Amino acid sequence: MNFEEKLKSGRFVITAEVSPPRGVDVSSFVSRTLILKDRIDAVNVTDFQNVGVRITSLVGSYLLLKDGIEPIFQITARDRNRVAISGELLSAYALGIRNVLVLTGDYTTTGIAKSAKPVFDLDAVNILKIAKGLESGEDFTGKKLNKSPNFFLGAVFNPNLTPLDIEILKIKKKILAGAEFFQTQLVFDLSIMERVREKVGGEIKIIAGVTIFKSVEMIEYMINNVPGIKIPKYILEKFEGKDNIRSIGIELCVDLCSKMKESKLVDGVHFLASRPSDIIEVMNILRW
Amino acid sequence: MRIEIKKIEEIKNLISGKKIFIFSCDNCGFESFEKKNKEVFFYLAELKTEIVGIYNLTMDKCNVGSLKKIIDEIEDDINRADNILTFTCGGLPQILPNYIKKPVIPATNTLKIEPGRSLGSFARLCSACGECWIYYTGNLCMEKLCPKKMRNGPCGGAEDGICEVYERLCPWVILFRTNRISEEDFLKIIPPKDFSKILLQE
Repeated sequence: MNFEEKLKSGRFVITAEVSPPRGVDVSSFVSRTLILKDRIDAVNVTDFQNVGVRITSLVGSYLLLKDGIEPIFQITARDRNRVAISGELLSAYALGIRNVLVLTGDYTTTGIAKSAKPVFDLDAVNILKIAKGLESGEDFTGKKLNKSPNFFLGAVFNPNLTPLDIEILKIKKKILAGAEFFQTQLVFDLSIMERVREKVGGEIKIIAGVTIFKSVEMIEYMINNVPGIKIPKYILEKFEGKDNIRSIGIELCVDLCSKMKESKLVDGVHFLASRPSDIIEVMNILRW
Repeated sequence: MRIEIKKIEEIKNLISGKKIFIFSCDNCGFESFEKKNKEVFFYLAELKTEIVGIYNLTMDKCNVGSLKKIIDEIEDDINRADNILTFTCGGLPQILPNYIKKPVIPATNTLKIEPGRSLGSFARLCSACGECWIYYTGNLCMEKLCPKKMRNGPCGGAEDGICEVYERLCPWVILFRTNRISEEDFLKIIPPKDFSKILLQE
């Protein structure tokens, strides 16, 4: 079964994000990710994460696919216009990549390459529409394709956004635009997912974001530099004045993952900013 | 300033009710009222609406202080109208909802604002993007207010309502907090912008 079939069959899926390398040596990127092979259901390959120059998501996704890992190709609206996005989508499909996660993308000045021009020719909703257009056999200009792709399209939402009602409407809009599954920003509070389910129903596939905190620096970095992250006080207090951050981080993640699975509110978990070796450690404890 | 009147089909979908009040202007001195309003009335005849009043806004009156007085003067006409149609740049229809609690619909697309010319003060609010879509976003201009120019809702990067780029409220959060957009309107997917509209202006 592929990722789409697993998700649609009602299985609890596990995904994780990895970033392609900064440089042309791809060996450690592949070998590091290979330990996730056959343990998790799909691996997201980020698109110039943190506005940094890296190997593209397309090539990163292809490298994983070649080695038997099912990728989820991420594409944002920040660095490419609608022509380039359409081309990347077609290229991905031609290389055998079916899963696509569509994001608007963080603003340039929130990341490393602050001097770059922010493109935002499209937003996530319109990338989804463009992908659906390609599936129906033509590009956004109306030109016919010699063969049309068939993607499994995903989108994101941020459960930390207040008021949450706006984000719920945005989920509905992304579904209208063609999203079939959702991966979320970090979730700590399952009652938020309860509210989301009340509003969007049980059918839509939601994979909740989790992370494994490694150090105080990582926590501080996330709070100060990553847009859309909100870590509740009671989580931060667990780490205050402690030396064994990593083991507390693993414990916290194990606890959250098992609660998420038990709750049946989400269809899977998505490991964000976590080392593959740490993910395996968490999964071993959970016996997943 | 170069302004075009929207296609009749687009406006037909936006107006509710028959009685219309018109705000017109002289494009910051780039056009004569006479010539412009001839075009406006021709257009409105085709729209088959009843015009309850028209106000010709001059550049010296294009500011908040003057506008308040103007609205007091024309209050009776405005009360009789179902909709307010603006044949100005995109600045005025962003301001009017603060004073008039009726649908304010921009009937134009502003194609170009020439540099180095004096402008009415509301012109600063218009980004002259070539296809005015503020009707869909509670009369807030996302081209001007949102760094990512989000057309279909907030990007999700705001923290407690504050934009991820600038220390200010996300315009989408303002829209929802002030109930300026209905769920039905929000769920309409706004297609990507047609850049050729402004790129083809000399």
